[in-house]
Amino acid sequence: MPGITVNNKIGSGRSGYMLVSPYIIFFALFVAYPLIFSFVLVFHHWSIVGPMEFVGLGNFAEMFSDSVYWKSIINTLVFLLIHVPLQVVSALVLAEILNRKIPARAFFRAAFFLPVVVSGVAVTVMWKQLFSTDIGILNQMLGMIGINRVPWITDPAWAMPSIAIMATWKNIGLYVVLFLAGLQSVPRQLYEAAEIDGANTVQKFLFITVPAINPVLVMVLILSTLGGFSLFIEPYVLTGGGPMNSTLSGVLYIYRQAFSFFRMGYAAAIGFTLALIVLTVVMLQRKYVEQEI
Amino acid sequence: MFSKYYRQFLTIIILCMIFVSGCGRKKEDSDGVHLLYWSSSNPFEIQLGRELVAKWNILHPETLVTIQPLPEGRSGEEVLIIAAAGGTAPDICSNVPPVVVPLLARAKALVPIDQFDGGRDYLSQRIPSQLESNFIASDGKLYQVPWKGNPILVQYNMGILREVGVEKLPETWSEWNNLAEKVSSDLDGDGQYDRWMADLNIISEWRQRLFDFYTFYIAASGGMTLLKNGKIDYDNKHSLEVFEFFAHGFNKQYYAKSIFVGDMFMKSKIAAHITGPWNISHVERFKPEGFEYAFGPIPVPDDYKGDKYTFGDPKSIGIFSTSKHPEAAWDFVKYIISEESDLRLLEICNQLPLRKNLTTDSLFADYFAGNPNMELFAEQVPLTRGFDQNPVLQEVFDSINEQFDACCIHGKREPAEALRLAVKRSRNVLKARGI
Repeated sequence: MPGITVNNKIGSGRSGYMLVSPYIIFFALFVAYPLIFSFVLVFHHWSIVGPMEFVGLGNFAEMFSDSVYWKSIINTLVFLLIHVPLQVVSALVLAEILNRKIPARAFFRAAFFLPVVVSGVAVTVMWKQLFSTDIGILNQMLGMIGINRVPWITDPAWAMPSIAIMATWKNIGLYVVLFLAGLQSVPRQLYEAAEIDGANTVQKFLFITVPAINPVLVMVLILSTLGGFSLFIEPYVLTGGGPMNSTLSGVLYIYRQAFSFFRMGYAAAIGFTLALIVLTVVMLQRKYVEQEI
Repeated sequence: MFSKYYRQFLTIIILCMIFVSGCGRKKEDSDGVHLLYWSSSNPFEIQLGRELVAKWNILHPETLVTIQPLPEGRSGEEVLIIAAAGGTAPDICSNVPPVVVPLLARAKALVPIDQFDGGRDYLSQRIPSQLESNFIASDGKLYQVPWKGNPILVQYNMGILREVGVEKLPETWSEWNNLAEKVSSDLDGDGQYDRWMADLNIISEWRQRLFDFYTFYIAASGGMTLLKNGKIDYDNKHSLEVFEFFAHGFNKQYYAKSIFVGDMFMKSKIAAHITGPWNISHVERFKPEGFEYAFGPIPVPDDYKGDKYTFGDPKSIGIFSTSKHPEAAWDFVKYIISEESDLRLLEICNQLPLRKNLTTDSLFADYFAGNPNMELFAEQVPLTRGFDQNPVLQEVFDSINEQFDACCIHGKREPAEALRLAVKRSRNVLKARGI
């Protein structure tokens, strides 16, 4: 074909390397190096300043006997148990509603996405005012209908569910958009055929919509799980990990060890075990939720 | 002619060089000495710093100082440690929390003042003698220049006190609790308290315990701190009594278990605010019409006899060992802590220099005559305590914080058991770190 030539010379490979070199350099500096360095750290005591001290598996030994570490892992799992189902179900229901011809649909689609692009700290500060036990708007509204004040973020039993509600509200827009894209790709003929067969709305949702959007569902599950494991800003700003360590997430504990107590080796060890837990949970999700359609 | 690949390669190299050269942090010293000085990011201290630096640069053109506010971070400790580790620390910083000094000193990131000719004596003449031992490292050296302090006292809403018929400010725990019993109440009749004695910060963070447990412990024990000769020293009746005191208060709802937004003190939702002198200018600026306040000492146990101590919330100046000109940096530090600069610290920032004879020196007389509340704080300065110089002190505080949270705030543990667990964890921390 005139004007198009295929260059098989060695130089073309060099050009390719050059084009990818910015990413390779970026990856080496900001991904590979920190990863390798933190792996080295797990076997050391290091306070950032001063020399490293080799401790072998000492950090892991301490970690397994550290009750606060286990508490932080359990807290993270509790958060996931509340947050992920709540996130998936509420996003799916909202997407289903916004997929229908309702008034001001474009406005609602934009409105639900707004919290996603607002700073996490700003959102948390706003919820801090809503959650305030004695002067918060939520409790004032409950008071109007005769319900006693709820210690949203000041009682160990309430604090993590409250944070899960806030995190769900913050991220729901993103998952609504993903589900909407999935819903819009489901062929209308499937619903028409089901209607002819006498299927009701719930049956159509369960047996057509859910299987058809399974890839999106898996993606939302994985993304919300990863987001849940990285829970940090909300407890950091809202509760500091309290009350009684009930909102101390794994990542917040890593931060506390690293930047409050300057125990980099111990923080790195916790980070690696948390990464292993995340990997296991995500693999299990893919194994049991993902299905061919 | 270069091939196009070499031209591309050359372009990338040049871009990298431009990027790297832009990362330089200090001017070259080819035209004299240049020092980088980090002040606190507090707007008043930035104003003070800029004024002092401008004057210094005119008087000492051979040693030019550039001022930058401390970079933003969750805490000064975090910022300084990371700066020291990354090699981006300034020559001088005037917002060094003494709690982080042992860690920086152990890593040899700070210059000991002892290395300057007459440095130690210079500071001994300045600092109130009772305070000097608060700042000395375990190796006997002084790695910080004690600069200023903010003694913690109790600020009372006099309108509320009058309303409940109390004229005398509480000095003992019984008086405090009697006042709290009268103040803490349900004013609108909805069955829930809406006014309390004080707004203790219930966020579970070690720093918050400085202004409740630690301040009251120092007062109750007549000036004891948490450690003595590197060993846990708070395993005593004073800390147990402080745990009991706060557990009782939370149980009786004298302190709200709430996270407040806004100033509850000026909204008259609380009668007492545990605070430092920085709050005077804030209240003066924002107080509503007719709002009256007064400062009182930290209450002590009823049987307490002796001087009334409190937490001093000190801040120090540090000279970093990465400085190429430590002697010039020391000269600049001496200028910052001179009498004239200290007067400006008072006038601009309403913060107290850690200086002997502060209330009797004629240089400061006019200032205190115009600011009688500040004189009260100044008189308290010699009777303050700061931080034990130990690199794991934050973790010791965290042990206390954990148990204070469980015992005092949430009533889930008995004070004696909570104290036992806090002490046990503190000892384990010291042992595990080989300290």
